[in-house]
Order: sequence, then C-alpha cells, then structure tokens
Amino acid sequence: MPLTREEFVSLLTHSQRRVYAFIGTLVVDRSDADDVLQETNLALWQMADEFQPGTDFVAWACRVAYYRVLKHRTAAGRLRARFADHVVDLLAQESLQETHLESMIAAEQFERHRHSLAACLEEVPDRSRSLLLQYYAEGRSLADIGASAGRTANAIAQLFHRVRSALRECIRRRLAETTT
Amino acid sequence: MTAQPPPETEPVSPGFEAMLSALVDGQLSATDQAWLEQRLTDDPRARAEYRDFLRTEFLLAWEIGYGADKELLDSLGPAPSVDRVAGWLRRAGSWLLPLMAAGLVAGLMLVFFPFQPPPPRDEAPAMLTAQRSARWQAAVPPALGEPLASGPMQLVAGAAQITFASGAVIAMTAPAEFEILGRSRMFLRSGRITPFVPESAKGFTVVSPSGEVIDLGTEFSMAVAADGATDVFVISGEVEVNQGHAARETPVRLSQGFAARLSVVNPATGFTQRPLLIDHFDAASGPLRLLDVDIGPGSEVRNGGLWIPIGGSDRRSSLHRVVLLNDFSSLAGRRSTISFKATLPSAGTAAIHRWLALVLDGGQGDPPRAYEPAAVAAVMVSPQWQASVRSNGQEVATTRKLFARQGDAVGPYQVVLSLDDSAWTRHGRGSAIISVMVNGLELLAEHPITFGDRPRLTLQTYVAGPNGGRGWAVVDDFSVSVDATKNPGL
Repeated sequence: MPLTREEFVSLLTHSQRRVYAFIGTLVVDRSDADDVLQETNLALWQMADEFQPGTDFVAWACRVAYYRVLKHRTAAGRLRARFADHVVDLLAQESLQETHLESMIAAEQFERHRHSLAACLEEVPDRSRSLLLQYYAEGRSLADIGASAGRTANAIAQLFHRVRSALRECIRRRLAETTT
Repeated sequence: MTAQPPPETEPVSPGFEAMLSALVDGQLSATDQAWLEQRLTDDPRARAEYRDFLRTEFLLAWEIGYGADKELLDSLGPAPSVDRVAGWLRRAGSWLLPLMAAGLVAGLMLVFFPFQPPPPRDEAPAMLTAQRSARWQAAVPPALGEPLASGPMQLVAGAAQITFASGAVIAMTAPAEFEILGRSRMFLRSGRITPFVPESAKGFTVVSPSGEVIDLGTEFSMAVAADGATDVFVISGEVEVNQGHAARETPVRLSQGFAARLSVVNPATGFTQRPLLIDHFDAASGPLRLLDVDIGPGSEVRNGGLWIPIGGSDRRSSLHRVVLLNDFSSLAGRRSTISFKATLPSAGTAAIHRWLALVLDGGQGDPPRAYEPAAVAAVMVSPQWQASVRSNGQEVATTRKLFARQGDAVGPYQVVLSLDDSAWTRHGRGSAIISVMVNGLELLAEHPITFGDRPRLTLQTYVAGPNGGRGWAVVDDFSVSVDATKNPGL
C-alpha cells in the first residue's frame, strides 16, 4: 500500500536533521550542506514512489543524499572544504552503516544525542549564544562577527572551539547518565 | 552483531578536536588539512571521532540555524537589518522549499509561518512562502502559501520570501517593486533582493530596467535604484550580467566577491559600450576560488590552495612560475587590492635562499622573470624575511627586515592597483598606479606603470643555494577587493 502524501511529508520532515547531519559530515561547509540538503529534498520528493513503505526511510534518504553529494563534487569548484574522494567514500560508508544498524537503535541514539545537545545549549552563556546565532542563523562570517564584537576572526574561531568542546563534554555527561 | 561503543565514550584528543573545529570554520591551513586527510584515511578511530564531531556540529547548526524558536524571532528585534532577514529567510527557505514545491504544508510548522494549506497546486510559477510584517500593493495582494499573480506588485513594508517553481528562493525587503515573469524569471523595477538559486534552478534570471542578471548557480544580491541603475554583488558562485536588453554582445561573468553596476541605456544613443564599473565589496569572508590559472608544470590546485614546487633536485637554482590570469580591465576606475597568503616551507636549510615573487606585468609575451625591466616585483626571502622591490630593473625600496618565525605563513602580501578609467576607454589600454605592501608595510608607493590588454599576475618561486631545496609554497586565501570610495584621481 503506497504512502499518502501526508505520510511521506511526515517522514521527510522527521528525517531532516539526520540527513542534514549525514550530508554535513561529507561536505563540511555549511553552505554546501544547505545546497545539497535542498537538492536532496527535491530528489526525494520526485522519487517518492520508489520508497518501499515499512523500510528505513532515513537510510534511503541518506543514500539519495550521498549521490547528491557526489554530483555536487563533480561540478567544478562548487564545494569548498574538500577531502579526497576516497576519504569521503569511507566516511559515507561508515555513516550509512550506522543508519542501517537496526534502524530503531540508530534513530533512538540520534534522538538522545539531539536532546542532550538541546539541553546543553541551555547552559551556553548568553553572550556566546548571541554569537552562535549570528554564525548559524544569520550566516555571518567569522570576520564580520568579529568586527561587530570588536575582536578578530581568529578570536571568534577560538571561542567557538571552546563552546563546541564544552557542548561535547556536556553531551557526553548527559548520555552517560541516561544510559542504563 | 554487537553495536560499536558510542563514539562519545572514546577518549578525546584535544589537538584533533581543535583541528576539526578549525576545519568546520574554514580556518584550517592547507598543510593541516592534508595531515587530517591522511589521518582519516589511515585511522578508523579518527574517522569515528570526526563523524561524531561533525554530527554534533550539524545538529548544532540545525538547532540554531533552522530552529524556529521564539528566541530567534525575538532576537531579530524591531527593525532587522536587510542581511539578518535575508540570512534568516534563506535558511528558512531551504527548509520550506520542498514542502512548498509539493504544495503541501508539513506537520512540522514554524512558529512564525502560520498559514492555510494552499489549494491544489497547478503550475504556478511562483509562490509567497514567507512574510514578516509585510504590506503589499498589488491588483491581487499575495497571500502566504498561495501562488503569486502576474502583473506589477509592490512590497510596501516588511520582508517576504518568494519561491519559484524552478527552485529559486528570493528574499526581499521593502520597498520593492517587481513582477513575476515565469517559473525562472522575474522583473525587478526597484528594491533589493537576495536570490538563493540551487543547482536545479541554474539560469534563473532577474531583469532590471538597465539589464539582466542570469544566475549560474549562486547567491547574489541585487539592488535597483529609482533611476534603474542596478548594482549586483555576488555572494557566492557566478552570475552573468548583461547591460541593456539587446542580444548578448558583451556578457560579463562575475564571480564570488565581485560586483557590477549597470546603468540605464539612453535610448537616444542606442546600446552603449561603456565598461561596467565595479563597485565596492569585501571578499574577506574566506578563501576565494583562484582566478584563471595557467599552472606551470608541477603546480597543482589542492585543498583550496595553489601548491607551487620550490627547488629541484640536481640544480643549484631553479625558477618556477605560475601565472594567474584575470581580465583586470574590469577593475578600471577603481583602486583594487590583490592580496594573498603564502606559506613557504620551513627550513633546516639556512644556507638556501628561497624566494616567492609576485610579478605584475603588462601582459605581452612571456611573463617576465623577477627583476626584469618593466616588471614590478615584490620579492620575499626566507628565512630572514627581507624584502626588496624593484621596478624597471632598479631597486626602488631598500630591504627591510620583517618579523616572522621560520615556517610561518608569509604575508598577506598586498599589491594595490589603481586603474585609470578614462585612459582605458580612450586608448584601449590603461595605466596604473602600483603600491606594494608586505605585512602591512608599504614598500612601494604609487608607482605608475602601463598595462597592455590583459595585465597578469605571476607568482614565481626561486631557489638558490647548494643542492637547492625541495618543498612547496602554498598560496591560499587569494582575494581581490575593490575600493570604490577612493578614486585614483588621475
């Protein structure tokens, strides 16, 4: 029994974060990841009839995303941070394996990671949050953010590094607490 | 099959994490990136760490960038700047796009985009997909989630986002007057827009009273003044710009960081041949693509940088050249700065002199070697970091000592060009005023030279000493910026 449009959209929206994270792992640059995600969504939509209901939607979507990443790479100069093809392939295979790992477990692990991150974000001081908003929500460059804050781009990069470390540490703690 | 232990419990190596942080911010040097790539190839645990870091990073980007929390809405404040709204709308657009293209509203709804599901979709060329405090003036005022009617319309207040059937997403803020011309085409009479055009919508065209801008897969911003003069600034990717609406005689391609201004054609004189003026922009937001490169043997473009070999095995000295071509005539009339960062290999080789020279030449014949007449050269010497500048074979600046540790990145070197507009159009050639700075020190101030048709930049590495040295000079962060506010005053 094929999926209704509403069901498909529901699956699509719920998979967005995981597909985005998968793409990001392969292309690194956020603007490129945004582009590839957009193209992936369009492709998924066009290929909706090919999805087998009852199978793992995220795994399917990530496979489609993987081919969009490859397609993006061959367009000259379109991707910014580039690793060699064999590295991207390795990373893609390992990430895809993770999504296949008992799709329920993978989904659950991802959700716990996500919720821990959301909780840990609450602990980030306001001043840093404002900078994070400028970076991730508004897409401003490190140099621009630095200029507004009266600091160098490098100082901002260092700050983000510390925030990321703290977030990861916090996530680790929370995940360890909730694991039974 | 037993599951792998979650990567989060594996020991973290701070140095590796710092490197990944630099990587995602685009701050990682070419050499470090090469090292990282090797680690990822060899070490599955490094890959696991990498995947975990990147996953957290993109979850973070999603939470903050796409997250539709009230905090974001509130943080935009009462009068958001154009760029904030454009950035916000662009991100929201990436998310909404597939849903809008499908004509469906998803269960997940963003707090500030409440709207009714649209009626069954036919091939509407464009749809209003978001708006914020928007007020319209149009024969049929647009409604959120609804296709836009044809005919002129005006955004009188607020901000809005329009998604085209081809996939292009346009962010605009009031005041703006426009018309939808098709699924991949619009007319902008006045106002400012930031189109975001994914690969699938390549070819998207914005027509203004003074010309046309055709997207080649990019993000750009475009502003049309009341008199029709159009400014285009390319944020990333490439666009093709045509002055006037006649057949494409002189399309110009603008790439990331470049801008152009189109003027309204005077119908009395017909299509004019006036060169496009390049207006100001800042290209400091990251490494640019290299311009046309005539790569010498052995050089390669790798990891966003240009790797130039230094030295040879059996020769005492060797010269290697890379020519960076660009049609600098498009910079006519404005003071332009060309700067780049270069890293020379660290030594162990005190007796060897390595040179990296930047040579500007008139564009005729073979690129000159450094120190040849008619070439202006900035020559950097490692490890003492002395610099001297010659012009016309004469030393015009005394050597200076610059502070840098051996192996540090050299530069940024800057060469400031000012190209004279009027001489260019009259004679088909231009003259230029050259200033050379190294690490912020001006070594050559305002020295005039004459260019031919296509002035060139040549990077040369040169090694002198026993056994020669082997290594790579890495050039990255190459950028060209144009300052429109300072007229060369010729």
